Amino acid sequence: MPRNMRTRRFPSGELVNRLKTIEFVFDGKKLKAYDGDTVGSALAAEGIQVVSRSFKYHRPRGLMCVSGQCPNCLVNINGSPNARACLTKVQANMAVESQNRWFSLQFDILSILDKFKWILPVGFYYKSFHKPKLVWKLVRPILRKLGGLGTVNTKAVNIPIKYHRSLFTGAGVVGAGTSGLSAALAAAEAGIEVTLIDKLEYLGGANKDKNLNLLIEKVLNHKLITTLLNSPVFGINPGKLITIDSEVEMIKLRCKQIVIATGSHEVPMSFENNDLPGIMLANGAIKLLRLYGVLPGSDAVIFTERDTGYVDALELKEAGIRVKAVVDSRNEIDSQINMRLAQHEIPVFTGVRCVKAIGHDAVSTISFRHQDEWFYVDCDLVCMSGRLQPASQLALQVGCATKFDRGLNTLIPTDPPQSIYLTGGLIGITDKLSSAKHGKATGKAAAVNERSIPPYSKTAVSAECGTFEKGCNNKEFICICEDVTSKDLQQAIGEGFGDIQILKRYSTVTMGPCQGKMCLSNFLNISSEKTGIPQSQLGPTTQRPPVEPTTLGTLAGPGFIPVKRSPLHNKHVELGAKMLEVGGWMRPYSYVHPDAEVSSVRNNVGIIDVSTLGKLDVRGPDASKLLDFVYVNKISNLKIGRVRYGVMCLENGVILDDGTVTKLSDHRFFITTTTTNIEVIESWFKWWLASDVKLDVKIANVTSEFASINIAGPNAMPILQNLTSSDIRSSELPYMCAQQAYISGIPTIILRIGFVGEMGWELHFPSMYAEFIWNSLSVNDVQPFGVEAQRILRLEKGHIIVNQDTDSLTTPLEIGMSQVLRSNKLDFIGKHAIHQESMRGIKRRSIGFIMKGSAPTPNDGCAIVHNGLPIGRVTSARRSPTNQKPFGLAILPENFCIDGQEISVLIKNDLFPATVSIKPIYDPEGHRLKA
Amino acid sequence: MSFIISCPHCGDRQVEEFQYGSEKLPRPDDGSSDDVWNSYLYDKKNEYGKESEWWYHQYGCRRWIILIRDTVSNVVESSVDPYMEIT
Repeated sequence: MPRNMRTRRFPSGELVNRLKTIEFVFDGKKLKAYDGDTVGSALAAEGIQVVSRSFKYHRPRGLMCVSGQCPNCLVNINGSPNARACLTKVQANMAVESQNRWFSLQFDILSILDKFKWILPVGFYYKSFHKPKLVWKLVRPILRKLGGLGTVNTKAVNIPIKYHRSLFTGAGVVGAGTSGLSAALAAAEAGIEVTLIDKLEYLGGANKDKNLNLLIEKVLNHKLITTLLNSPVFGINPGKLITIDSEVEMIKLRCKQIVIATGSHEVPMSFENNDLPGIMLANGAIKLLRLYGVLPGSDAVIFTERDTGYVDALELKEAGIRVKAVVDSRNEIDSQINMRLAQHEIPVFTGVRCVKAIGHDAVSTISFRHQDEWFYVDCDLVCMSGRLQPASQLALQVGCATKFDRGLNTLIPTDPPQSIYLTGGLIGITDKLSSAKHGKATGKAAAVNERSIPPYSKTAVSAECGTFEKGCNNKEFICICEDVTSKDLQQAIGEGFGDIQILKRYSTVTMGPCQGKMCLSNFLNISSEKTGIPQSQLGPTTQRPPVEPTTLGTLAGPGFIPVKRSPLHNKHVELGAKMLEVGGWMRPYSYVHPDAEVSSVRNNVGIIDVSTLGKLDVRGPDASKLLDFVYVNKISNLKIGRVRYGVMCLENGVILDDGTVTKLSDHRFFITTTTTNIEVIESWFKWWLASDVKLDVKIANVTSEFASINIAGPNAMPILQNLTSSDIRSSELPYMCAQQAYISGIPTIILRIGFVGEMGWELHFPSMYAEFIWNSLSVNDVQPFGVEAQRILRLEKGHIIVNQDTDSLTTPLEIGMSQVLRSNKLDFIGKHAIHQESMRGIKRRSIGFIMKGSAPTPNDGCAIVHNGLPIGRVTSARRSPTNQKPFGLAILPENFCIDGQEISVLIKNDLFPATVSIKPIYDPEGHRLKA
Repeated sequence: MSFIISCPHCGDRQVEEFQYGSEKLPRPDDGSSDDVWNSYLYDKKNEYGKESEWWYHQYGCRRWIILIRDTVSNVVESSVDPYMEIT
């Protein structure tokens, strides 16, 4: 019995470092592992055979493939469900927990379901428990609980995400086995850049042996080859784009050519109880031995359909495992092989068709029929060797056709599209020598994008293989992910689900975590047998990305989005500002309390960093013609040294952006846009310029070239005047005028404008002097103010912010710019739509309001209600620091836009009265602004 | 969707670097009828097959180019900068 089996460590093991032990926890029990162990190998070394419970019947399951393909080793690691134990490296104090069991892995009470299979036949959810209706309602939640894999932790915090990175290469080689290595080396030797990608942590592939070392060394030393290890490829997308889920980031690798060398891998054989722990793929057992130095068992039986079984038998024997029998489905085998095994005293049984496994929690006995006699062999390890399935998912995704391969007894991909190449085990090459040869030829062809590759010649080695009989048994598992047995499939086919696509959906075979990696060829095989349709006509099921399990955090990870910082960023931090991300920029929210900052600007003087404003330099003889066309306002009549507020619209009359236009000289304009929109506006200008190539205009985005500071307040004038020899008094530089002057010796564009509603100047100067000018302005009690204070100040003046107070339907007429209708401009963007709207009549307007009594401050977006129906909404609202009353801007129907109109604002389910106020609440005549 | 656009200034680049503008349609003259404007704004051809389109190379040369692209296969047949055409 496996209980008393003493699994030991074998002296070799390439990947583990025996000098360093680490501890981890499995289901509450402290276990030891070596550095380099995976969770799977560490559990195997500790003699833990049952690692998980199956999806439907809660049968015990243990390590099977040891290559991250089968569903048997899915565990919860540090709170993340469905991690593959056989691939995850052990880390100190890692918390590993088994899944889908109640209440423990050893004693899963739900395994009782295994005895009640008859209640849950294939497709039962379509036919049982449906009458009367109430039953399904009762049963469904229970069934949902019983079945399934790990549980997602919906309260998880710090979910790991992966950044996305784009890379380019000449030839992308997927798979670093013999053929992949050969192809990569050949392509690189032909002079093109190669990226070699493999999901394993080492080069050489799943069947790595020492003969490959020389090739691996050559690949590693070649300058043109980049290797990406630990990097499962989960899809090949149109445009030869490989998506890779590497350890730290998601890589989108764009290739000129792609060589798919994903190889083939062993799959389980079908016999009774073929899912018991202790029954492994031969490759998996060998891997434990070679890479981690773990003895997978002590008494082994090998089932084989190929010569590989004998090689495996010898390797296990050499490691000290008693190989009690090799059971071969073929009638005849090479006499040389037979002799070698006889030397090692390994009994061989050929021509065996019928086998079964016996055991409770793990395999304990194997029985098989040899020459009409039943044999029983006690063992704790069964290796299934030699049934191969090509890893054709990626090849099928790129659009390869399939053909039936007699050697593998399954479908292999063929006819790849242009610039995509297939090689190695994937196309049915089973011996390493041919793989290397074909890989080399493929690499050479890929390097020059040559379509034809010399066909490989099938050697005698890959002759037809035998197969074990497939029965019809409710314990013979075809799909170990979803617990689908051969009996289930037979039943489904009997019910009429003969087509492979429908059979798949009805029985859920190939639809579990392995996505057909373990079951597709067996599934095709058995369907073909039962329906009588040849496999080539059945065709494969559709392969879609992701091929490898990929977390949502990987897919949802952000691209590279840099956060922009103003040239004054360090200054703000030094001043202790609360920083806030606004439109992709880090901006100071406030330095002290926003209300105090407001009061400073209103009563004394304040400065704000407005470097984030979009800035464009527009030059050329046709500049005013272009601006006339792009802005709804007339720009061509602007005089040199004057500033105009301008609004841009889309062709449908909707406001796109606003800002100032300053005429600096005959052919030069300086434009500011809103912080968030500069990229859009730059491309908008360039688009109309590209549409009329005869216009002689050049545009430069100078947003980061210029730093900008706004100084405003009744006491601002002397401070600024002190720093410049130019006369900035209102008589010389009145409101809406501009001047180029020196401030503290730095050439500056001074705009006399006032977004905040006080006498103020916006200074634009080379950004390298940002801190110098800021420091020069910060004299006496000049108060720096942040975004929040600016928002309150502008709101008191009723100045709108595009996209805050406008939406995707707001037109210039709705913000009160009816003068655009009177303009005698020839044509401009949005002209037709604006005139159309004016003829139809304006339906709504952006307008001010003041709350009455002791109402709370409404949030942005609060509904304005009339007779129980929403008629508009609040777009901005704040509590006025001057009179403590909440006020703001709202979008209201035209007939409500009357001064003093009573309205009701819905704030958290309660209505509060307010009145419409057409004039801004602060300095309605603009005396202070224009002073 | 993922394909390569050959920018006349920058060479082969991934589509992610570009921004789609619109189908290339002539803008109606000032004073055209409502119907003409309406169809210019809202009745896109959405060709099944080759189409002439505006694309902006946002993360490259920041210039507008005109592509002839097959909307079915995403094969880009030609890409020109309108300024190159006149010189």
